[in-house]
Amino acid sequence: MNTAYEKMINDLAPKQFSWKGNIWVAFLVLVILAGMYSYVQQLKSGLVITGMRDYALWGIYISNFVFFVAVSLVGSLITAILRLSGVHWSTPLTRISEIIAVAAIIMAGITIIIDMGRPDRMLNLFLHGRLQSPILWDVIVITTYLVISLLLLYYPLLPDFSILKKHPNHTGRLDKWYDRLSLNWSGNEKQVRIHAISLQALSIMIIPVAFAIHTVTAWLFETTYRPGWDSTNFGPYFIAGAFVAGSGAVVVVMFVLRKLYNLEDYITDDHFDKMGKVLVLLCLVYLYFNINEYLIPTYKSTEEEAVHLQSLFKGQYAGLFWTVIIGGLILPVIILLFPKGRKPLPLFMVALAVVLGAWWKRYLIVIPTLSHPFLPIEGVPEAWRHYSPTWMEWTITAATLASALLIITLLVRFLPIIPIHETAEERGLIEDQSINQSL
Amino acid sequence: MKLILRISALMLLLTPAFGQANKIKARVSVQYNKIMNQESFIRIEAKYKSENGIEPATQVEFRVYQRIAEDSLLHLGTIATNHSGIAKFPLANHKDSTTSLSGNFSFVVKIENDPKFSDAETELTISDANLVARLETVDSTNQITATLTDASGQPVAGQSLRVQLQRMFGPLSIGEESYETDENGTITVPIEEPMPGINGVLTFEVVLNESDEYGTVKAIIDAPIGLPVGDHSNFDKRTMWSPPSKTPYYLLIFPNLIILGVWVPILMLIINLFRISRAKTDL
Repeated sequence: MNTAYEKMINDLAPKQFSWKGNIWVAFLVLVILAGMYSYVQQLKSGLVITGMRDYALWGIYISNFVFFVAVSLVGSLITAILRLSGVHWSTPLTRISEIIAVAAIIMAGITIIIDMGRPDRMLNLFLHGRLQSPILWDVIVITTYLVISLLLLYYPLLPDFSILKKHPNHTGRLDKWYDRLSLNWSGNEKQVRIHAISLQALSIMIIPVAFAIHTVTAWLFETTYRPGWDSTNFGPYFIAGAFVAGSGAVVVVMFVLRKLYNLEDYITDDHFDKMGKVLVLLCLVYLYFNINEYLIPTYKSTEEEAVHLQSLFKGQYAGLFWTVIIGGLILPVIILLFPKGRKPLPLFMVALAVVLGAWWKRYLIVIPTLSHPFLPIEGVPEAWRHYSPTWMEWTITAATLASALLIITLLVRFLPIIPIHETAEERGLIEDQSINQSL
Repeated sequence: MKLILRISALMLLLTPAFGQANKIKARVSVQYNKIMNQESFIRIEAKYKSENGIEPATQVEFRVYQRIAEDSLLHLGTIATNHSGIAKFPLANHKDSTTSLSGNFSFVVKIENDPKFSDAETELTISDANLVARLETVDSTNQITATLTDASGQPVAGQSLRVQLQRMFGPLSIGEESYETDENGTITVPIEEPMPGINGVLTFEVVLNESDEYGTVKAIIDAPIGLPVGDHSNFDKRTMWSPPSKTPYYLLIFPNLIILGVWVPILMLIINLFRISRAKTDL
């Protein structure tokens, strides 16, 4: 057996958690348990435990949902778009982006259920759902995207599972699972042909579905006639923002995993440099859409839009708005334009700011608009005029974020972080199929 | 001991007085309303002065009496004001035994022992009147003719009557602001402009409004002289706001085609996993 190939398998095979990993998992479980306690209270008492009322009827649950949908789009960008474009440098990042996409889309679906005051009525959505409603479109497209994302994660894993089941450094229990999950992969001609066609089909299919998922999410807002949402720009604006958030998330995760698993030979400084360039391009595109989204309504300044925009630019939300725009978009662009800014550590910090900015940007899209309806707020208690999330809402939201991180953590524990077979092929370590079969 | 008994007795006497003193004084207005051939009722409106200005007195219970003699009241019933501070007390057969020869009758409306408002009493004396409206056509011109008579059937002259047309958001005045009855107690108002009505029917009202002597008296007539308006309701049509059973066809066809277009390949991709599994020995 090729020693370089053997070393690569040793480097990339899933490894048990260190004490740091165990503490990290315990921390995530604690956050999830706290969120579950709050959710039980919500099930008992209803949405009254949240800060949502008649006017601010969507709160951080929905902004968090939009964030998850946004992050999930990265699977289509890194895996599908770059794969179809013939870009090979992104191969070590495909598994990470697919794992992030799966975790995010699972949690997006769960977050929507959390936002329902009566989750036991979920079935009614299917029994009595109206095809006229964008809500039903969203349910259909999220389910579709989840299935395609799972397939896109699973298909490239088949050869890797086959490699792992024969890898001598594993416990018997995991090997059995890898054996079952490899679906008898031997790398023969027929399997390779079906695999290649399927992967190609998945890569093509996921792009329109990914665009649809976030466009439909944007339509949920656009079709609701409110200041700040009454825009035909929302579909591409959301997709551009989603690619920014997803790419930022990939950079953060790849930096952490490279450090923890010593993957410097596989995720190189060049990968960070290229991801930095991708991120700066995406940030610039998103900035362009932001200018469109805010400049034209400001220029027109119809009465209700003006009130809404003033609250963002100078009023109640100004601090948050400018922090997000400058700290989460403009400064990252400036920093990433310089090669030193695209080094691993600076890029990691910039990506962290981008991801945090992306979460709060969704908050700014959802909440201020609901606080400024077209008709004046009358005849309601003072507390209903403003939205402020309760600690229970924060706990539940933190639990959904922790759940997404836990899914990523567990998948990283049991799956190869970097595609072994594909990387070996690209590095010329597998010259022909017979080498793979001999393993 | 005597002193204690005297103080206790004094307190008992003063308690209701102190209770009344702490209560709010309500401003009550009462109107008599009669809609010919339909109903008669007393409209009671109660307000009070608060720190924020004049506000409606809600959930105040009024006892309604009819005066049947100088010192004798007949209790007709009780009614509470709604969230706007208004109550509508229906009258039935109140004239059978209690109306005086001149056709006058009196009602007394009282607030008694209300927890928030002090006791109050308002008396309303009115004379019965009848208003008859009819549609006539003279020289191809439609006109509304209405006659106001008192309880003895004598015409009432010099009263202002208003003619209006019922519309969805309120009455539409016809002709001048009001018309004064002549010596025959009659007004005549031409209907010159063609107006639309459902199935061509226009509902006119002739109103004697808030008269001190007769209260409010209204006569309503349906006149088939309007321009017919068709029913444009799309309740039974397939629209974006209709129930699932009435989804527009294009929304049934195209999204389902898209769903099929995506899910059939997905199913094939899942089947491909089985094909890969079965192809382990095919070289």
